Amino acid sequence: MRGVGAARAKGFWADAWDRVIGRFGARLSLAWIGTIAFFAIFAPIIANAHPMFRTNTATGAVDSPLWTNLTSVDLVLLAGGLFALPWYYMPASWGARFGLRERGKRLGFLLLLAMQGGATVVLAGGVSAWSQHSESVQWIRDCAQSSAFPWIASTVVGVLVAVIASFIGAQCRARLLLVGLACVIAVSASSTRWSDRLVDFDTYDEQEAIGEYSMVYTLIPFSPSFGRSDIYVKPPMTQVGEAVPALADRPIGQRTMFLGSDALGKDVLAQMMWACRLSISIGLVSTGLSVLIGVTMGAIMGFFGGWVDLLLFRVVEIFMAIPVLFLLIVAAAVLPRNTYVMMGIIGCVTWTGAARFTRAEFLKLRKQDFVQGAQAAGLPLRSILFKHMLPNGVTPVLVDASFAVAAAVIAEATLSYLGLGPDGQASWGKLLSSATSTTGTFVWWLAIFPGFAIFLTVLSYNVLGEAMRDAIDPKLRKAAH
Amino acid sequence: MSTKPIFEVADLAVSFANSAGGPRIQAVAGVSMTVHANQTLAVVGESGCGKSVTAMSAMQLIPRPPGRFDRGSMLFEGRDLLSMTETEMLSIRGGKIAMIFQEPMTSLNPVYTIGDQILEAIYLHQEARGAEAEKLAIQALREVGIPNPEGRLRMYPHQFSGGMRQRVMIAMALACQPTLLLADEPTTALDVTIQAQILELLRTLQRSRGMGIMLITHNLGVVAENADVVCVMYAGRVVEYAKVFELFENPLHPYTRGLFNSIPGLHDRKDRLTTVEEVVLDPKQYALPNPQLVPWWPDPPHGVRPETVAGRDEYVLVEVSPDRWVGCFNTAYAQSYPTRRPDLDFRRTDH
Repeated sequence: MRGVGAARAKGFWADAWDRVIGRFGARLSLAWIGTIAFFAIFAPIIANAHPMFRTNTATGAVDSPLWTNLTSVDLVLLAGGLFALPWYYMPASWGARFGLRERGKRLGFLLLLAMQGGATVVLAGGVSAWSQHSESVQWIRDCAQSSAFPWIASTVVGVLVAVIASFIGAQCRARLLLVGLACVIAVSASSTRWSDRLVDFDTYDEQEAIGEYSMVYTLIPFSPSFGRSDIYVKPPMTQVGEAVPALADRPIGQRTMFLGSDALGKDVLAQMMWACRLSISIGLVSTGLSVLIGVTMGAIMGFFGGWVDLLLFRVVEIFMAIPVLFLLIVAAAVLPRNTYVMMGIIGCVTWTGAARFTRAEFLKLRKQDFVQGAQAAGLPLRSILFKHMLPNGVTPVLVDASFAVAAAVIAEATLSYLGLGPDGQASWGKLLSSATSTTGTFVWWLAIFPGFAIFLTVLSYNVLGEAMRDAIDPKLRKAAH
Repeated sequence: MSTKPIFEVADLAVSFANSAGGPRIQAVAGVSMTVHANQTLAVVGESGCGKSVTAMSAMQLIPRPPGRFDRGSMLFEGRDLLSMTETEMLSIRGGKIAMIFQEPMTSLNPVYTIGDQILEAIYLHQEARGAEAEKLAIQALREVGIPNPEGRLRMYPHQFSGGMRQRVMIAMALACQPTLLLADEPTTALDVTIQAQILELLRTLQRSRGMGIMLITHNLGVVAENADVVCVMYAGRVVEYAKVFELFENPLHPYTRGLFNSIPGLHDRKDRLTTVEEVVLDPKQYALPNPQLVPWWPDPPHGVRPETVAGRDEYVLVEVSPDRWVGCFNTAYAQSYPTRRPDLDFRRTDH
């Protein structure tokens, strides 16, 4: 690089990212979201009532109940979390060996792998639940009894997802290897953890009390599903043994509940940590889905115009008329109460914003010379729409998306507060609701901690959205100076 | 000695639906021309005369609807481009036929590096992959005279000046060794010295590859310097088709004369340019070598308009003298006049 001002130019995204990250508020927000993401991934090995290791005092045999009780989702998240950082921060020369020199490309690839792993585990979980459901066809339930069934079913699901994943996105040298690796991890995770285990946490305490085993616990030896009726509604920094004299000489008596416990005797800190998973996934997945639908619809409307536009925009208007929260409440009554249904509903209803933004941008872009140039170069429509036009018009969608994530977090918290949230999952909204309803008195630690967590999360996404808008919109940028 | 042309437009007519619901707008109405290997055909005419629509039709880049190919054919290497399917066109566009546009400032995608954009074209139309493809891209940039092509490959369009961007556009267009280049006013947006450089570059590349060029332009200076054969268009029709020297020595159609009269000279003062009306009202302008042929004109004044053959298009392209074609009124005489489709296998170096 020679000459005056011939510094190597940053790409559009790198430049926008630097502008976003240059703001103090945005940095704080990212730190908070990063913290949530960290707990979302690592909560099972930080807060768990299963002992990490247990040594049989008689035989000296060591096993890990924590490991055997991890669900397939936990495992895939952990694998992804451990893989992500070194993959993103590896030196460019190593990345070049995979054909992915730039970090941005590696990040994109990471997203793809995450989606692949997630889809495999979730679909396999769906197959598992369906095949064991009491209303399923008899021969399916018979098949599901066989010991090979989990392996066969999850392999079929995993291979199908992997085949689809290997066609999406940019091609690179290590693609098949990495997609294959993700497939193997997800398939083995879901087949070894095919059906739910019955968990009895009290056994551990019993075993340790009579000296049969010695246990090594994680940092916080509580799970969100672990509750004891004798330690209900204890304030923060309670030591179990001091608060309940009956437990003083049990091993559990030594534990401290840093943020107290709720009406069911569940540790608040453990619930707070595990709830990060719901909070981050509900926002990102539902918004991801809505952006995917919205951008595709908007791109088609904007590029083709005419009657296609006319027709599809009526669809957009129909969806704009649906109130999301009420739909979610109705769905909670008739559909299974789980996270995926909720994500699906939020994603399938809130895509209209992304569609309208994309449509407006594409209407503007399709007359641009470089789009015509791309056509004259013989590029296929897919490439023109999504490779050449989309990056030039996606920025308002991204800004909108970050506000949409916040809205989805609030929607989940609202539903959970109303007692209509996903079943069997820790949630900040659920904690918040137990602050008043069950005990009749106001329990401040059940209101303050989850309340602040929700507040900070929503604030972070909003601040990030603002920062992105300012970074991307040159008019606003000029006005700020 | 005549070879077969690589690109042959025969009686092309393209029309567009009028959004206001009126009659269809006939953008091109019966245009014929040919391009031979190693030849530059200049298509000249005012804005809206159908030059660009002709070029865009060859790439099937006319949005249909509202556009429509009414009749005619565009033969490229013996196959009709107009009847090809979209899939077939994808391999033609950018591969066999390349196109460069008027606005170098906006013709490159601002979010990708130059390298990404050239490589995409190479991946699409050639077998080369990885380092080999990169070598081709560097080679293409070097050929168009961009210094330090290796470093430039990783730069974004905004880091290039207008002339450099047009060079990049040319490098992109030529990276896949096309046999025909459609240059739609490639130098209009550039200043005069850069314009000369770009045209010189096109000529050099043409000579080394034997490529045919269809050069669309307003600029008669550019035509005089670069073209082998000139096709003057007016109102969607070819009004004159000739070898470049013959056209400049002796323009036959009144519209061509009007064009030449409109060139501002360095030493003569002109307050007004010659208008179309002045040309039409001046009977001297209508003199063709054969006085029975009357140059075609949309809606000419009374006294000029001859009796055309009833029920036929009133325009016909007539070879008024050897290797000179002029658009005439379709009179009974013009009908019987021995003529052929315009086709000149001529290069200025033959002169």
